Amino acid sequence: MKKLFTITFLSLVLISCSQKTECTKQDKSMWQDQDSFKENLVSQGYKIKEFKVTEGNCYEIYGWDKEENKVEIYFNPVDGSIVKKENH
Amino acid sequence: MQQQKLALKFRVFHWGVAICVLLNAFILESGDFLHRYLGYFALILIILRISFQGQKKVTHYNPKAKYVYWLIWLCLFGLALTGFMLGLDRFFGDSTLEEIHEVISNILLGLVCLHLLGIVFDAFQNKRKTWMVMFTGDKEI
Repeated sequence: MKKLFTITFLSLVLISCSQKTECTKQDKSMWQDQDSFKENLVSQGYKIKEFKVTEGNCYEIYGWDKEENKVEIYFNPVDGSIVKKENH
Repeated sequence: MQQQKLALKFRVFHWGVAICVLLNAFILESGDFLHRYLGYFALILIILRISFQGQKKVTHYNPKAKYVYWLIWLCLFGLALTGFMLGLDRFFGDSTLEEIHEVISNILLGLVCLHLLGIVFDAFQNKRKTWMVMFTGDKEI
């Protein structure tokens, strides 16, 4: 029984350190317009393959930056800053 | 009663894959560098595991457990395949494929729960320490 509790406890600890990227706590009304956000990125030289709004309140893109690197980037939807960038 | 010993390498594969699955399902974010490479690492473990298996017959306490294991293998391969495909230019960030990857992952976690329930059931109902097999390797037939 003790082992069962230990395992349950450890699983809860594991789940609680989940690393989901959070980008903002601000209300959706404060967020940038999705289309103009995308256009702005394209004008900076990004190529957007996919655009998503994540559970962690981020604008996320899958695509290529101006140096042609394949990237996955999480943006703050309010100020448009990069929160997390993954090179693929 | 006959004693069977599960070789250390199989226990290492079991826990190696289990840790990869737990980390990728609950801790590491989709698309993370570590998420991707742990996935490939798990695939290598699985392939090694199968190649070491050889022709040896495995005795299961409960013959139905075998189906759960087969489905777990199937899910692991499905995850590796869809995960790899998501990295290709063609499917990079593809929502449908991401969804499929997630559904397979949820099915896998469900199967893992069945697997754990089976072990717990065996311990309480049949008073068999089946769960010890993956720790000490000792199995009574």
